[in-house]
Amino acid sequence: MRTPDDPMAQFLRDMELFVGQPPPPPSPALATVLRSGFSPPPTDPLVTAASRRQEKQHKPMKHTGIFRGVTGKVVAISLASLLGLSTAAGAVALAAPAHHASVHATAAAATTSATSARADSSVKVGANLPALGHVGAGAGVKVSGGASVGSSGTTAGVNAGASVNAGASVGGVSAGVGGSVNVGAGASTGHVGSGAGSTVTGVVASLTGCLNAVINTVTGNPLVAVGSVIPTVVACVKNVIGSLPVPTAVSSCISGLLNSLGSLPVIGSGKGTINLTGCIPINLGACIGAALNSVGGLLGGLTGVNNVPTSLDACASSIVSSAISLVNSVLSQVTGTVGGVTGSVGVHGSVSAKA
Amino acid sequence: MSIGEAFVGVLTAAQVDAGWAFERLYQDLAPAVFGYLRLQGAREPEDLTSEVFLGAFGRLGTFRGTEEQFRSWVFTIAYRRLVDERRRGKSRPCADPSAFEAQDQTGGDVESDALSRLGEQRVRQLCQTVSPAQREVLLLRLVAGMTLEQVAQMLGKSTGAIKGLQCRGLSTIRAGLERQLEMSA
Repeated sequence: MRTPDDPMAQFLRDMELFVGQPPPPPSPALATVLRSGFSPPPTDPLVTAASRRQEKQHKPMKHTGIFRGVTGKVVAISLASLLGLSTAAGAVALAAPAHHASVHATAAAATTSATSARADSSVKVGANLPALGHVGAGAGVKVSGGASVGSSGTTAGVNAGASVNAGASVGGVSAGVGGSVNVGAGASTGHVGSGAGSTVTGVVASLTGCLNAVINTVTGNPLVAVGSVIPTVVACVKNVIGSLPVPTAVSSCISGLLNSLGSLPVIGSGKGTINLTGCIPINLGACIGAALNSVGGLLGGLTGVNNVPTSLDACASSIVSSAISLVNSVLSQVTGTVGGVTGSVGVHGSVSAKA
Repeated sequence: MSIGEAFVGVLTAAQVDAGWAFERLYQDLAPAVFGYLRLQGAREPEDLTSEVFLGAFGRLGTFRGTEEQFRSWVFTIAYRRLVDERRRGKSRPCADPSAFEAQDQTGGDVESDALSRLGEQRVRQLCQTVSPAQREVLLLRLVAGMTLEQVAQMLGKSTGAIKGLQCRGLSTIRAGLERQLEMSA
């Protein structure tokens, strides 16, 4: 055993010191990646949106399952609202409301325009959305959505809406589950920091990635044991949120909520379902509102999220969807500062499911 | 230093091109990679460090594994870059401690700087007492924190051979340390 005076121990300490020095300044190329990833910066969203839309004509998005429908819309809406924030902050885009309105005319277009905010990365988000075509013996999904952007003078408004109606029978047994999710966030923000968009987009992307880690994007089958799907998703979401530049109070709050979700029991075997009525039973608005009060912000319009899911997959998706919405709302509040331009963001999603 | 529990989330974020996640990974691993390259006598360790991370981040989508495996993966890339550089004849022997002095980044507290320099000097001097193969193994084990098996796989040798190189390297270093003690006594 080495003593503190052992020369070898001293050598190892020296070695640790040697390799523990601050990292060298990154090269310009690496610095760009560290700042905004490999994707080109969103300097001109409209141009990028157009090119991406053209690209998408060759690669049509598959709408193969309830999961893609629900989470895809939430991600799209979240990103669309973020783009709206950037738009309001930039003030340049305010000069062309009609053009924006056409870009955001439909939910599908909102996906395209949201993609433009972070080009490649957001394309990956869309591409990586798990497709859960096998929710049950039969699943029907109807998706409709709309989004619009308008502006007037120094006030900009962004409204995005989407609704998903899904019918599913799990495991051959028709089970009727009715639920609704309404997530709304109102923010009064001015000159939102330029880094906010990329941060939130990255978070949204990584939250979506949390699902890719546990669910096969093609078959919709869990990649881990059924009983581990929810805990794994929750752990991943917690990790992502834990690495966010948000106040401790906010991350602790979200983490606390997720802890309660992670402890839900899994019922049955096989694909399984969980205690659906209690999947997301917590008054998120109160919790996040309290957390935000500690940083001097106010969150308006965020209602409690009630029960949602019809299956394990849908529950997992709802967790991530809620987290995305929450993170979106929280970061918009935290990073925004009131300035000469006022922008409002509304994100509203509704999900109803029944057999 | 390690990211710990948040690693999965950070990695996932980096794999979908989140800049903040790249930054986190860089801050966590770059010091060790930079130190490794310096001790290996890379001619421009700062630039090479950036190259290593650009290469790693560019291929991040292919990586699957734990934080420990990620660390090993990054050092494997660093090792290969170093080999490439040596093939191009750009590297210099580790036996020239003075060559590092221009790269010193200490600054601030005078006393701790002095101690730090002394420590670095000792590390560099001892670095030249071992053979290149022993140094490679020792640095991968001590700096990169790789396991015997990982080092063996990276260098294309058997675990026994790596163990032998490590043992002989440590013996040489210990002997060097004892000589230093005798001289200072």
